Amino acid sequence: MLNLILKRFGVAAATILGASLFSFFLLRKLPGDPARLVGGELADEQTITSLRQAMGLDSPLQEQFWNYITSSFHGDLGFSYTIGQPVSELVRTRLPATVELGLTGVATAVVLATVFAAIAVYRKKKGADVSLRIASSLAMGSPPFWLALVAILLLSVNLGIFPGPEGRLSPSLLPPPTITGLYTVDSILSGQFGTFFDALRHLILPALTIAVGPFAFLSRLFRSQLRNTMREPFIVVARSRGLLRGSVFLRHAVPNSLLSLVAATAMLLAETMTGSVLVEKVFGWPGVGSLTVDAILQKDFAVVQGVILLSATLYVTVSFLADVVYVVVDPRIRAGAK
Amino acid sequence: MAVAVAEAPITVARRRIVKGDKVLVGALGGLALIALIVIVGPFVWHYDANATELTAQLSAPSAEHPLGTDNLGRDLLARVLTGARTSLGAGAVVVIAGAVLGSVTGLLAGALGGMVDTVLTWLTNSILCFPSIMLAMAVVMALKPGIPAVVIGLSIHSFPWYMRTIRGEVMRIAALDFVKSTNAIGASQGRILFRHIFPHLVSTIVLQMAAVFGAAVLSLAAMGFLGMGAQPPEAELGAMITEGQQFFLTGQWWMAAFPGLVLLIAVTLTTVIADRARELLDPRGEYIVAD
Amino acid sequence: MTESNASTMTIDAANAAPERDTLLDVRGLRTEFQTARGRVAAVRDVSFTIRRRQRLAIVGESGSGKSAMAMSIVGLIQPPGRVTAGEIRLGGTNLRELSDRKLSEVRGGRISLVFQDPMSAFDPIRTIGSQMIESIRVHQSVSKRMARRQAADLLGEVGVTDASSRLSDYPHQYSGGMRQRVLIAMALANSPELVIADEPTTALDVTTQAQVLELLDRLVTDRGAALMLITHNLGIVAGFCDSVKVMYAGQLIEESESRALFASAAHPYSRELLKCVLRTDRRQEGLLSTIPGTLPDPTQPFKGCSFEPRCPLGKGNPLCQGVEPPLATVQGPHGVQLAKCHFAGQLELKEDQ
Repeated sequence: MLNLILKRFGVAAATILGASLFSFFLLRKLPGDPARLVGGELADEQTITSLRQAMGLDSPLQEQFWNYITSSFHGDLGFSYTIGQPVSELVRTRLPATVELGLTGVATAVVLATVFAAIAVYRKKKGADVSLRIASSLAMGSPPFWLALVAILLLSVNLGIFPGPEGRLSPSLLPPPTITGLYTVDSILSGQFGTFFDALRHLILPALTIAVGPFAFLSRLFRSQLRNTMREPFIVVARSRGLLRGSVFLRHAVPNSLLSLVAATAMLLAETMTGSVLVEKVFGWPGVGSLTVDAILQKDFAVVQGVILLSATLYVTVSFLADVVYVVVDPRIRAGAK
Repeated sequence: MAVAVAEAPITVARRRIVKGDKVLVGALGGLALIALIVIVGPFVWHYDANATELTAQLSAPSAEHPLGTDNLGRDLLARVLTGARTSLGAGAVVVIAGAVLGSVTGLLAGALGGMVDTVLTWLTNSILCFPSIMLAMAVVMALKPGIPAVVIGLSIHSFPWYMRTIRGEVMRIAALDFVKSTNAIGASQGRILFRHIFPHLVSTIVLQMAAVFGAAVLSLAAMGFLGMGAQPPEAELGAMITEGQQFFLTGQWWMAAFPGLVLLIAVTLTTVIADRARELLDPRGEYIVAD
Repeated sequence: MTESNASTMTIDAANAAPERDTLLDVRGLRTEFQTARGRVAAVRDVSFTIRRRQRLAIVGESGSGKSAMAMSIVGLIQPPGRVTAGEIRLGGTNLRELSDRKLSEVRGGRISLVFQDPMSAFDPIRTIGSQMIESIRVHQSVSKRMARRQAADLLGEVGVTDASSRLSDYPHQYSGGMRQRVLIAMALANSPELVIADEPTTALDVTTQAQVLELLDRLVTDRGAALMLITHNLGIVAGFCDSVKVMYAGQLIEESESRALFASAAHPYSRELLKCVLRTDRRQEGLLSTIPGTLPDPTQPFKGCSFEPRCPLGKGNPLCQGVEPPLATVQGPHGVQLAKCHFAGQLELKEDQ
């Protein structure tokens, strides 16, 4: 088992290295001089030269890459010239907002997808199944940012059920003391229930918007997986032992099919953490996504590089964890790994 | 079970096509209609997508302007028509570029093996660590905002799937007897690849292209929405939604509503078509990651 | 000589078995599958009875409808299949009229099944113990601990060493033969009155086969259960079952006591089957391939005798082609036999011609 985990770990490390190489050269070898971008069009040649020195751009490329890798390993992701803060600090303050949004969104998607797919497969009448297929096709086809706008128009502006796109809290409220960085959790931990409900109200629409794509994907995956499992011989055998169809479904078909969702969910989670760019922009959510958009439009390449590295690390870590989950949960793999 | 009535999937597929899978036929018809409107529409509809009419800013849908006008007084129907052409066309380019790039690298990795294979596999693993939008944004930053940069970024993100599939298939098929015997006859390796191995894979590749087309169109629109894709005054559905965003919440809903609706319909139709086609050709096949 | 009877006639009635001894009484069972090319009958109007403690073999080649019949009895025919006619009486109740909930009490309770492929019969991510305990607790209101003890006893009884600790093992940690033993143990967990074993040894190697059959034999005898053994292998029937029913194209075409069948089969098809056993002896794979031809296409309407195209006696005979033979009673040297053949009782005569 340890061997297997070590091997996966090696692959993960190589992948992160590759990803950082990729991002490094993509951004370093671009046309245009980063120092010129920082200094601005009007800066004189001398300023630019000293900027180049300060940014480490005058050393050979391989040395630059080495510096980049070693310093990021120590948690130093560079300095944002547009915001005037270290990138690691920016990520640290912005990440919790994205984590809160992404976790809530993906968790919602997982719950809704499994429940609806299970109902669709279990019901003998076709109605539920057809409805799910229509819903998931529409969910796959809808542009999330547009959906967010429509939701804001209908539910916030017209009906006033949810707050408008004003970020994580009403402007009149102060954020709760930072414990985890997740406002909903922190407000409860510090007993500020008013803040909690406000944070929750602000969270619901963005999280639902985040959930649309993952819901479509997971519900289709789980539906086809469940249908395949229901055709397995052990399902009929379990019925022949006297179990009712419902018990067989819940005790055997669902657990066996859920296994297949682990990897997909992990992937979606990693993707959401940095891919929630659009939803964050629409809702004014101060997370990593909106940080990235601003950084790209202003060519703040230290921030972009930092976020890219974060994204790759997250993806690799999460899929590594998913592998570990399989090894722990699935007795067949566990046995094979021993 | 007991009755020997198992049918080959291909028989089932043929019968379903002949009998007409109503949903598939309907979706194909819908998409063909959209394509026709988008291609022919700009020639028939007499308005210029970029002609501003300052006396008619933000006018609601009417007989004169069926979808209304935008804040610069441009006819929205004309803009939606050209915008859809841009979005869907660029989506098609992404899908084709990804498939071509993936096929070539896949054939190379599978046929040559060794270092080439190791490096390509490592490279694609690394590429897949990024969400597609993130990769497209990085390319936009490296080049400049605009559809070409986005298309490049999305193509890079989409090719690893083809590469992996084709690489695996090449390795599998190369081990089969008929290929070995062809090899023994003295046929060149390139000839074996293109005459014997590639044809096996065409349906797989086409299915994947259909499955990711919708996602590509949405990602393109997303980049347009973020201001990194199409640049004004170019009409593109995602960018048009951004232009309409501020007016959307204050009552002039049409500017953002129509481009979004067109996206929704077009992408949903392609999703349905891809699904049905997959079921027809591979009834027990699983969904593949469409991003 | 040949005496035609109503088609619901069975060998048991003919042998005048006492009524009260009847355990399962199947009348006119018909099971159909809805396919793209129309409805196909997998089981065609089958009638038979099983007495308490009886050992009955259902013999036929794959595709003859024997498994469909077994699944029909316990109401587990999967769509697009459906039981369309007939009665299945267990004691006084017609199983076809029971709700699924009531029928579930019968399945694994009074009637239990042993399946062919022990590899795929278990949930791969649940321990053997949890699946056994589950089966026990569905039918008996006992505590988990009690059920676990019962399960361990059963495992020991079927020859699993270190039974109580092996309860925590997963199916893939058992060998194929052991898994089949566990399946048998589970089938007998709730003291069934009837065990239906569908090709219980087909997936096993020859030495394991014998052991598993022996085990099945012992457990069924100990518990006083009746056994319905479904097989394509006549070789394992001899000496193991009291009576044999031969199935062909969804119908029972011969019903005899084992002794009678092996001494003088009453249907040409059974004779061919027997020849195959003798010829191939212990080899079971490809056993029936020595009878030329294949089962008739079930999507085509049946006319005449379904075995006619392959029959050494009746092939080309206008009677066999045109008229479906009745189930005829034959008085053989070893008792009454039933055969669905126009020439039942005259086979020797015909063969000599």
